Amino acid sequence: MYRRTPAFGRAPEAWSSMKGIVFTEFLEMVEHRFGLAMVDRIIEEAAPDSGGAYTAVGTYPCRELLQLVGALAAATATPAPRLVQAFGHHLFGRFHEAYPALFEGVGSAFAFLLSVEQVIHVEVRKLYPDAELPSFDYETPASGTLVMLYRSHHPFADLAEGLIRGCIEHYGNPIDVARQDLPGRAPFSTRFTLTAR
Amino acid sequence: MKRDELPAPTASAAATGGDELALLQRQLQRERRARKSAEALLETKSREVYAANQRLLGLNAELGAANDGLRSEVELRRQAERHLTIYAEAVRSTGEAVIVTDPQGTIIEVNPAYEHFVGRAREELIGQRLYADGGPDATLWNALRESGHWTGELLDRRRNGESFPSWVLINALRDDSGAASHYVCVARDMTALKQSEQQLKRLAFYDTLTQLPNRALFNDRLGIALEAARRSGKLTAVAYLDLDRFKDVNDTLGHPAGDRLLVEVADRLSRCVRSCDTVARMGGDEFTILMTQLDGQADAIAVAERVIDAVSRPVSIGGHPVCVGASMGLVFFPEDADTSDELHRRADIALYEAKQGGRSQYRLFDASMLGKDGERMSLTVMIDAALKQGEFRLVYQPIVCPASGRIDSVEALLRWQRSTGETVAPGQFIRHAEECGLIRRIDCWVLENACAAAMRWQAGAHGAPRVCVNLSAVSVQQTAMPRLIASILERTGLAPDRLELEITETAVIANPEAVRRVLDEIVALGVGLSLDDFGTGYSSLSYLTRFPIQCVKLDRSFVERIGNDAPCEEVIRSVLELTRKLGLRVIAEGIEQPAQQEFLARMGCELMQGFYLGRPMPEAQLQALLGGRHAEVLECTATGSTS
Repeated sequence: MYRRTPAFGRAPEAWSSMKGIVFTEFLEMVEHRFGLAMVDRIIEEAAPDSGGAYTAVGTYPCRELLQLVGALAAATATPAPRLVQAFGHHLFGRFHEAYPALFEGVGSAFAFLLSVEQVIHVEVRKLYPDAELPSFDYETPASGTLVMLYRSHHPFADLAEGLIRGCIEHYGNPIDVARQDLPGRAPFSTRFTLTAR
Repeated sequence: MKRDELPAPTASAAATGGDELALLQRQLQRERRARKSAEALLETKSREVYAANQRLLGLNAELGAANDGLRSEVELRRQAERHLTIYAEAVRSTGEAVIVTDPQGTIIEVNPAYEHFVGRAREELIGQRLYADGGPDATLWNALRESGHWTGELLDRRRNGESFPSWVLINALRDDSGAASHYVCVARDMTALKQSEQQLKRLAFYDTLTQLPNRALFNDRLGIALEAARRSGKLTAVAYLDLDRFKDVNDTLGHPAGDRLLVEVADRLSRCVRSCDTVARMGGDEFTILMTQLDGQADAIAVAERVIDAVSRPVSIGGHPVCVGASMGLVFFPEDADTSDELHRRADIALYEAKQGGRSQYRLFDASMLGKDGERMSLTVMIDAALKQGEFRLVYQPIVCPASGRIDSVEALLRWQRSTGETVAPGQFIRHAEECGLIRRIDCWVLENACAAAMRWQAGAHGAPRVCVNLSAVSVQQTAMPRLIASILERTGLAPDRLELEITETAVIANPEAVRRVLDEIVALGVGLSLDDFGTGYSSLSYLTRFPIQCVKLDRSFVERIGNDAPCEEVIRSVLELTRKLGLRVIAEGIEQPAQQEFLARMGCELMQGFYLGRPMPEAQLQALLGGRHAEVLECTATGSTS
């Protein structure tokens, strides 16, 4: 059985924004990987309403991240999902640097991923009461297998996959990840099946 | 997916030199805008934090105030709980029964005293009706509904079925709407009190030595006999009798022999009369006989002759034949007098004539014996003159607490010394003054002078003593008396609590309702009230406690029996116990011997008065006593050198 969390049912306007840290981290990654000129280029091409002047503490339309990712995909001739997954991977490392307390006493990738919904999202909401977070339902159908059902108003299953993989790499556990996008839109649902080797 | 999997930077993304400057400018602008928006956000958040902080401070203050309120409420509750504990303990340990009922009179709580009274456990009593056997009638419930209060006597029942009288006080507790929510009933077991009253009545109406009726009972029966005689038209005779040479027996053979002789005489007298007649001992060797429903004087004369014959026969006491005789005076109703007082007086005159005529004789009263009666008129004139010419004076007898040596109060006593030097004893004129109305002026004179004197007395370690003044039965019934007392207190400046008025039982019960109103007003002034000569009259403590008295003076007739009359001592003990329970002070009068003082002290009687402790003394001597030369003066007065 899935444990359901009450994250859905709101109007699209309400979920159309993201925390600024996602934008600043994304641009950090682009600058680090492709250089400042690429950052400037994709902002110029995407021409977001905010003008690309992001601060980690601000809140910006979700649309702008999609525009920036689209511009980066075009500029690098790389599929957008790959870019977003890479960003998720990058973001996990940044989380680890920024919030070491969340990792204390958590000894495995499974343990960390299981704590996302009940521990990490709870902490995030304390800091950002208006944060729009995805929800995860968990299932353990067999020993060594963890099923995570992702639901979000944002089409960012790729970001989630990147984060999951970043986590697995961080802990160095040998785990395979199988992904199944479920049909339908808003909320977007994706089923990740993680199997220990 | 790893970062390495991302494509390598392409040349198309790199800017030219000129482009690079523009790029940096754009980037700078973005950073600047980002900084400004971060600052604006910071400003907004700061204000929000400030507002939130203010709200928190306000909430904190409210919380503090609420906390203070809560703390004081907790303290009040604790105090209330402490009070409750104290009251509960008081109710649990009091000797009086306490019963709580619901508005229907069903018992919901009792204290251990009540369990003890009725010999039943609390669990048995709860749920029962209040005084189910004694039957509080409709009057009680009506009174409770109207005034919320009731006091009176009810019958209760013990487990063994025996019923007993209780003096009960019931108060209603009301809820917010004013309706009775509970009744609290405080009850006192009156069994011992009633028994003691019976004993007191026996003592009050019978002579303990001879078991004959005493003066009080004789007078009561005489009154009844005269009423009956008025209806039947038959004759009633009163005989006064005393023994010839009785003093010689006392002097030569001692008082115990005298007492045995009196017992024998009493027995012989009783054998000479019919069962409907009354032989009484008036005191000493004086006896009276009441003969009722006589057909003629001859019946009484026959009795007189039998009596003289019976008494003149020798009596063997301790092996000694003792011979005494009897002299008698006889008077008839309605021929010789038509009131009790006059019958007494004329019988006494006839007895006097009999003794004048020689021993062992009787005399019938004769009008010619009234030669000295003119004195009655002249006594009125003399009292009036004494008041005008200042022949009255006051002497003061201390009432002391022998254990501490403290002088509790001082009784003012009236003395009359005529200008001729002759002293007239109160017994010789007070009764007459009461009859002719002059007593009111005498009472006023005594009050005024006693209060003025008390103002001159020096306060000792325990303050200046109270002054006790006797108030006559006539004054006690006067509605103007409280006003008069108030004006005397004002004139003399004496504090009301330093004045104590002594009244007699007979004064109280003659006209109880009127007297009670007067006494209530006197007590309301702050003046004390004590009951004088207790034990010589009606002697019902439960009845007398309805009057606002604070003190009882045990009559000297009890005190003089100490040491030779065990039943009397038992009565003294129970009187003291009862007065203590009723919250009354007791003063024993007539202490003349150390043994009497010791006995009374042992019985817990603290206050005493009598020649042994201090004779009546002039004011100057009293002041010396109060001034500190206490022992010296008491010694003088005890030896009688200054009386």
